[in-house]
Amino acid sequence: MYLHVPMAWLASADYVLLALCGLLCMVWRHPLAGIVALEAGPLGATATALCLITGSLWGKPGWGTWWVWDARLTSMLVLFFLYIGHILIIRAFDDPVRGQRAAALLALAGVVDLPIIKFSVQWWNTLHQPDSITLTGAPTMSMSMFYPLLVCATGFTLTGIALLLIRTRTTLLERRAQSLALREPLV
Amino acid sequence: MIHPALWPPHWGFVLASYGLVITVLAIIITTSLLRLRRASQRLTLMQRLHDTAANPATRQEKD
Repeated sequence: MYLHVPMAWLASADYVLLALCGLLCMVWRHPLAGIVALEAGPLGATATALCLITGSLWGKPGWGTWWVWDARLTSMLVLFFLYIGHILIIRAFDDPVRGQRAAALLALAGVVDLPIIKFSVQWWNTLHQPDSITLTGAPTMSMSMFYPLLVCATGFTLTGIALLLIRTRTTLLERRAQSLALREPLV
Repeated sequence: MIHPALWPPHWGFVLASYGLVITVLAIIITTSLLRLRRASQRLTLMQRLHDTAANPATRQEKD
């Protein structure tokens, strides 16, 4: 639980960031938004994959099966495919701006999956347990488990932010070096 | 050492989950930092080459 739940939160939060970057890219054509989206995609896909795999690892002893086509699990799998699509599309064009705009469209269209993930356990009768933590009510889990979960979630979130900043800085440095190389002959 | 009979239930699944996440995180952090280092070195090199090309006096001194 201390891995699976923070990964699920991180995967959803990363997709919200991806959609915001898509909006910034489409409406204001902000150049940094495209670069952040380029680097946020693989991180989100990794978090989603880890969420699915750790969930599956708990599904076997808990439910007696590795996988069921449950609404929560399936919508999370759809999120993973959205990430994969975004990663492929943003890198598929020779012109990076065209790739960023095409990927932004996918990111914005895919936002519809987020409320499905969130409310799937309420809308459908699923094998996955309902949310133990909500924004409005008290957690239904023991406090001795709740606080370590918060610590884990904070740690993973901070690691995710740090990784995103490092990778965005790297892409900016790579592009500056590339533009210097293309600007004029060096000797 | 704790006797295996007293290990927590499903310890194999716990070990697999933590092992997987720690390994993946270690790979991502290492590759990201290495990529950043390589990009910084490349940019420094490009800037040095440009400075040398832009300043012929420095280039002659070096020649």
